[in-house]
Amino acid sequence: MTSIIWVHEDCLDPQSPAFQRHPEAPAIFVFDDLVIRHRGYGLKRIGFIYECLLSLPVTIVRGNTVAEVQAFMTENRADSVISMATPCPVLTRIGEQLGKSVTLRKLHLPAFAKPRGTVDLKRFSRYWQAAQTSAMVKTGEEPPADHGRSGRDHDGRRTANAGNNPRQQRRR
Amino acid sequence: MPTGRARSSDPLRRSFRDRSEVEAYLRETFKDILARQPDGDRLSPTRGGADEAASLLRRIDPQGYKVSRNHLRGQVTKLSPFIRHGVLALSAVRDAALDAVHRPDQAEKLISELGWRDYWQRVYARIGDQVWDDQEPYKTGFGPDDYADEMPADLVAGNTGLACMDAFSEELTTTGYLHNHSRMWVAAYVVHWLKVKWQVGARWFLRHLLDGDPASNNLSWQWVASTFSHKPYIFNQENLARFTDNRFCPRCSKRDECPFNATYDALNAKLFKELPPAPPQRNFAGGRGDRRQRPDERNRRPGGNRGGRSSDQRSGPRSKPRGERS
Repeated sequence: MTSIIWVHEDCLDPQSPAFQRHPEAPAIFVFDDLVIRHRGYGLKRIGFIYECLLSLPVTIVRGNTVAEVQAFMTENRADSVISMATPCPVLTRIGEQLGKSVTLRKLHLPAFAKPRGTVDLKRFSRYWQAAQTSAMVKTGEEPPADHGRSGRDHDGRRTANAGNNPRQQRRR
Repeated sequence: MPTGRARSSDPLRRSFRDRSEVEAYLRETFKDILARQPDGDRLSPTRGGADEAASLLRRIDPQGYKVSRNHLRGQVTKLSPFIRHGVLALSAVRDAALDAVHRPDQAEKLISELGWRDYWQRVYARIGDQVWDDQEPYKTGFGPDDYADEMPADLVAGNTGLACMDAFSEELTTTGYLHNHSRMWVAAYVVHWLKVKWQVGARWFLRHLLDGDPASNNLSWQWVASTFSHKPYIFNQENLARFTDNRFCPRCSKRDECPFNATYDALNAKLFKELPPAPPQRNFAGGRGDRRQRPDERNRRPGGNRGGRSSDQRSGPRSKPRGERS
């Protein structure tokens, strides 16, 4: 299977899994007029992104992303597209549209944190309570078993990492 | 293999003598889009690229960040645009922060600010375009219809007469960067003093900030506005003067009619219909802090990603972009 890499503005990392795992794959970035206008980007932002792209082994074009990626695949006789996952709904919709006609494989960055259990995103403090232990160790290392701590959330309520806090466990 | 055009559009240029040539080329290449933008836009002093990101990463100082990030001349990382655009993964910044200290706890504050970025991205994945919607009702006594739909022209032009706000406006529009604390002050001024919808201010920031990200930016604005927090964020003159070395007030043409020169009780009474319940008095940088700022909220800034948003850059108000705020 021959692949190309679709680089988008949420991952301009020359060390991304897309480039690391597929160093031979031709890569393309599209300055999509609809996205630029939708975001209201001016020269500062376009220039910053452009300078970042100059660090990458990527062909830079202007146009419609889906049409340009498809044409780039034809040029390179590719049958699949590799891209980095993003939560951005605009880029996700473009990816979905692209995926209707080609095989699109999304890769993920190494996780910054691996929160325990179901993550409560109502407030940062609740997320951080579950994520802190894993976020405080380097990539590839295991967190210590007793790294839990207590604190207060944004609403001033006392919180605790119940799974790791011995005092909390004793109270139970 | 897809069907359609046999060739993609002609590739854009990759080789330039210097930045002025890059700027001239982009002005010509994107002239149809840039014609709709305000005049005078130039490249930011912040240069993009993997080498620039690596250079900043080598200078990361988690301990300096911990003690000084809320000050305008504090040790912020300036990594937020690179985190926002994924030139650096959050995990790579975290790893570099841990490498720069003897014990992990010395990097904890910086890493927790990176956590804000991770948090906003998780929220973004869950709610998508709803980052533009009020996540909760305002806790100000006002409803959405009480807030204006347009940015005041004098603030956009940096011509309010308030030395601090005019300086922040100019810095935003010329450099594409604002310190996290400045973002919070501006956001609070826009929403609570000027009574402008947070969405309007958020769009203004996104148009200019290099690290502007809809998740970090909008949710931080909502944090200031109180639609994604339990109370609005405000500040007063004393707070602003403290973290800016009082650089603005002595030269301010409106120093005798400063809208920020009041106690928090007086400001609450003036700005809100209902006085929000008194928050726990927690400090923000080891001393008198913003009334509503809690330690873990410090680096929320509108706009960007706190990449480690230090109170530095990462995307907000109450004091966040996060995430990229560093």
